[in-house]
Amino acid sequence: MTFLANFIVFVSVALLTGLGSAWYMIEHGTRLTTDRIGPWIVWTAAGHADADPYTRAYVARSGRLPITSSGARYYLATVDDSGRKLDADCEYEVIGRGPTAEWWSLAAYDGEGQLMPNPADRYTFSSASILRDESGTYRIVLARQARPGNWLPVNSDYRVILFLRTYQPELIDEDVDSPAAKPDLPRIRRLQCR
Amino acid sequence: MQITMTWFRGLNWFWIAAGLVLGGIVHITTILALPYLASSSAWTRLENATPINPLQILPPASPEVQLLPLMAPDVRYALCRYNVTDGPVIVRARLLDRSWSIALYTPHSLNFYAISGADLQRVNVTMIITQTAESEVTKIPLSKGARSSAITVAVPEPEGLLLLRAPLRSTAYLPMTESAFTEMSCGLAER
Repeated sequence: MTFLANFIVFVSVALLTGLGSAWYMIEHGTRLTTDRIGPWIVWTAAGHADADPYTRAYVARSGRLPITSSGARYYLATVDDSGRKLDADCEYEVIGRGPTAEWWSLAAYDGEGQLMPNPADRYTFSSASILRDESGTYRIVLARQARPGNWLPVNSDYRVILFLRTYQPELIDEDVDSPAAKPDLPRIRRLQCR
Repeated sequence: MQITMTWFRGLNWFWIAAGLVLGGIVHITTILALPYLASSSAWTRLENATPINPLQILPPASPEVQLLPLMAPDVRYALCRYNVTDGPVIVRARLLDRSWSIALYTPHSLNFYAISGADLQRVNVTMIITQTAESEVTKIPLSKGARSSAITVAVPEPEGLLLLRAPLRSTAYLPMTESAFTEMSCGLAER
């Protein structure tokens, strides 16, 4: 094999492994940087002054300004409980009682993190605005068409992101591998697709 | 098939190993450089949309106006893009609720300071953002009460972002929130 061919292989291997692994670490996170609770992902060091380089890179690329995790906690879901991508052509129910925090809100965004226009001008439910049943459980339905109760409209051509922000959360050690030690996050169940 | 096998046999594994080593260097360099080079960072998005030093009340997040990704529609934000090159910046704010907060960021999105209403246990906050010596800060004219309770924050870089978050418990709190925002300020300290 010629020198030129070997050099092309050298550069290709370097770029594919270097840039590909960097993209994966930032886009998906790993057990080193994120914690997964059901369909929810949390970047555990986001907002920390001593955050690791991967978290810093993720935060900078995301365009967000997260606050330190003792004051706030952010959970992001791009899949449902079964691991299927959230799709605007499907309906979902988000059921839960928590999380436990001074205040929380759940909002739906398109794949770029932008709010989706909808005729109801409804983009979010918070711990103060959500309707609950007698047991304290709430049920939010994500759908294009209006639904009774807590209806969160989705109007995207492709992906949907659910973002749950909690301010002054009950501090729980998410590294402890026990269900009781995990925050009480809502479940996301697919109902039907068009 | 024959061609592929011949091609593989002709590969020099030294070059592949060298490619993997260079890939590791590319990986580390990319991760470390991203906070400084990301064109989608909050600083890049806000740099041309906000003036230096005055506190700017951001429009509520909506599909039409959303300065940063994943902004909350039920949180009101005020932003100060501070620059302490010409002296300390003084921030006067009100945290009406335990969930309200003030956070400071470097241009590389690093949150190096945050305080909430729950931490503060009082409503009025005077914050001095500075890179100068303590003796310079004492020259800033402040009332006795404000001086004793003022929070001095030493910034790692002369420029940065201050973001005040005010979650809305309901729309009934909106007039009170907007009124509190108009009473807040951010600007170079008089000396």
